[in-house]
Amino acid sequence: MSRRSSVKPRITIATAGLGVLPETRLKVACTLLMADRMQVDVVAWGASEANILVADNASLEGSLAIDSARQLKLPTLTLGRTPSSLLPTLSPTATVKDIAAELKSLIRSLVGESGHAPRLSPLLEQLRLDHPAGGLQLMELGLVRLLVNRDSGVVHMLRRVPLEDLLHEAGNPYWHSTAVTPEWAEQHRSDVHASHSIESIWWRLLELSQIDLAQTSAREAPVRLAAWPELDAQVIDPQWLTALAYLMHESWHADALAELSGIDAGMIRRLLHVVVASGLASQAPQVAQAKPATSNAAAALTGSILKVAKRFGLKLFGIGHA
Amino acid sequence: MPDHYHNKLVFVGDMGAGKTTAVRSISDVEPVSTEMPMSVGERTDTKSTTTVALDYSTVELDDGELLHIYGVPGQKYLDFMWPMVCEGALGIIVLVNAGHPDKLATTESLLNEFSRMAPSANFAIGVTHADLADDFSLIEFRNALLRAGFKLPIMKVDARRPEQVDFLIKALLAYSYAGSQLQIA
Repeated sequence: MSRRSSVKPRITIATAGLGVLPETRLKVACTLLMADRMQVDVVAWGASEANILVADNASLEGSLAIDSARQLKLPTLTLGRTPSSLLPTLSPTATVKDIAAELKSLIRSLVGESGHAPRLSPLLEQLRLDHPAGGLQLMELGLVRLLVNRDSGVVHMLRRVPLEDLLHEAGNPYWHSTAVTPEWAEQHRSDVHASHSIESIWWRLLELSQIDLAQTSAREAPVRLAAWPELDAQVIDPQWLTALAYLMHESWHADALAELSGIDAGMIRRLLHVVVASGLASQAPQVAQAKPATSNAAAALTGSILKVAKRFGLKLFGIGHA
Repeated sequence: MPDHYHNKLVFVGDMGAGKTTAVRSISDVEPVSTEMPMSVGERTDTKSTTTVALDYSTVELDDGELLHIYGVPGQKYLDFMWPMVCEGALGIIVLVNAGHPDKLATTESLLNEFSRMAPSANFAIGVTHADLADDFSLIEFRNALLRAGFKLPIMKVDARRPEQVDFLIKALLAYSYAGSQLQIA
């Protein structure tokens, strides 16, 4: 079996306002989806970040959740007696099979053909530098308020909030986004407490394992760095330097780079997602294969590098560091 | 103890870039320095001496060999010492002061000169004093160098902080190592 075919999208479905029977049928339907290589978790709406909402639009709780989901552009299935003209709707007495079929359709549209799971949080989506769209977006979450300017690649903090707080909330699905004009931005210039490059934010996110970055790039295409990223020496683990160095020279598939750099393949995928999302992926087509140094001069140079690297505490994947 | 031709690391940069401080922050021993008082017109609040020849120090490697570390002024009138210091260097780190008005031209010039003298060496750039230059953007500076054909590790560094100088050296070593494994000249 190829590694690609073993990828299971992990989907979180949130429920709101459902009766006991529809909720139970939904959970059984989700277990059926495992046969289609779809791994689904069911949570209460608001309990954690979700990819899909299933709600009864006749209940207050369900109706409020549907409004929020619309703002978040979250795919929604209504399970109630009131048909919706805008959303797929099933009766509360729908069978497990019907529910499973509707969910399968929603998940497939969400996941696409890539086999990768779903959307980023609204903030991370706005921070993507691999999309051509520019413009100014005001992003708000509780007391955190910031202006994203993708044209200049900068985030302006409009309230005095530590960058660490922003990073920890980056994956929150409840960010509210509003497009604003340059005139609005000019009027609020005096509110700016600090500015950070979007590129550096992505590289800070690399170290935050709780932020899921898997949705940033759908394809497992080879990746090469177009330029050395803006790194903060105080927060970046030096182990990434080896992988970054290889990516500066050539394009790599995750598995090949993991093997060469000695870094876990899952972590390398995370790194490649950041390369893509930070806008630093080069379009270079060729894919590299590691070749051992053959000339005496190259071998001597490699030996020297390994000795010095060891002295500075840098673990390079090579004979001198075995 | 045996010594090795390749065990040489060079810092180069203009006056005030932080070469002496960087060499000192990673040295095992007290560096040999040739600092002299600056003329009155050139003194600043934070700098009253300058290196007129070079800085030299060593770091001991695990097997007792020495890594020779040089700090070389980037001023053109001192270029007579560049070839002898750079010959066989493992890597060359160009330090540039973020507040320097001609930082891009100076950096390009140093990269061109030193890559001609040490064609097998790898380079990295450390930008110092970035905290004092409000309008400095590392990304803009990097992209300008990229447009000029220089694709290499570049980062902000506080030369007084050993861990930051260490990180810059690690980036240079990783870049050199990857290139040697891929046999990229």
